[in-house]
Amino acid sequence: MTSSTSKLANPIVETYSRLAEHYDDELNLHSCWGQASDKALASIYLKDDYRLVLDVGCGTGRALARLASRAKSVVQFVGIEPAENMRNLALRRVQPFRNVQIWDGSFEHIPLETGSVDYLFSIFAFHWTTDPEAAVREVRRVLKPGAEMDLFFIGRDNGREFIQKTTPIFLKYMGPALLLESARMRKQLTKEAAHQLFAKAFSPTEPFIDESYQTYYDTLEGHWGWWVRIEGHFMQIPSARKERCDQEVKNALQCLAEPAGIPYTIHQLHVRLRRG
Amino acid sequence: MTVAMSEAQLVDLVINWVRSNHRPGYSPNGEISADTDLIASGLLDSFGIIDLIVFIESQSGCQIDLTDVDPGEFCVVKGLCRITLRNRQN
Repeated sequence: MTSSTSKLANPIVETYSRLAEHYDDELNLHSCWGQASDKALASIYLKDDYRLVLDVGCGTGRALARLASRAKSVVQFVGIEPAENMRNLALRRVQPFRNVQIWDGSFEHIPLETGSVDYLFSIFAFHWTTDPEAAVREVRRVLKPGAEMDLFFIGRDNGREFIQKTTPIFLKYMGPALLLESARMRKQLTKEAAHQLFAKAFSPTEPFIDESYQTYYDTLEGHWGWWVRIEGHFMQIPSARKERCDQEVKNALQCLAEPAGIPYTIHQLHVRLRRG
Repeated sequence: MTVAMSEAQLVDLVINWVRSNHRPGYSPNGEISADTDLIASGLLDSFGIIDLIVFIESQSGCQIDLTDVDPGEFCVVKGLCRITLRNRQN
């Protein structure tokens, strides 16, 4: 392993870092993202011959701690995370596990040697990459020949209910140029675009891509608990206007309420790489 | 194709593009016209607008500068076309 740093001047990373201490709040753990993350984690199966397991965008280390608690001690786990305060929480969480390390890094800069990883996973982080092609090249670089991988990330049509309601509001407060700049911060791919991206990088190995749509219902407070973390998109709205913008967004989201709650549909893409 | 286009030609191009590329699962109510608000109607979201701008730039051969653009003009088919043509003149 090599040590390296990845200081990204990235408003999304900065926002995640600033709000890190709230990341494991009950409200967030039970939110749509908490539920979807748990579902993704539950689907991960560690094979006996894995020796180095990498979690890219490990957040506060929940997945790593859970996997390490039931893995053999010969398995080394590495989590990389660009948001400093998230990383600090992860370090604290994995302290009981001598075989888990947390490093500064991101999809574009993985501080590991070429061909060293047996299994790579990532839960809802890949869409924050700043350069998908460079990110996939870097993933390919660190994987051993025959390594396996599970990447879960959001697709092009994610959060369609919220986006339709909030886009006119953000357009009003941000103007066209900033709105489009903020949209470009997320790389929400269609299944076809994701296939093209990964198939090109991993050729001749064919990656499998599963696509799913799952609608979650929550209260406005429940949704707002995670919504604040995407504030990095909206940092350029002056604070006085930001309060009014937030209120309009809340009113618009409340209009979506159904008997079960306010819906939010997660469009998930799952890229799988398997041996043979 | 990067030839000089009239506003009417550009409007037609944009309408045809929107017909083929609007949000999945969305059925436009009524005809898409030069006066259609692409965002308020739900036809496109911010990602769709980005794709549309890339398309318009490739067809018109000019970069669209959105600095100081009126959001009301930007959302409407003919407004977006006028912004494009103003950019070309500048």
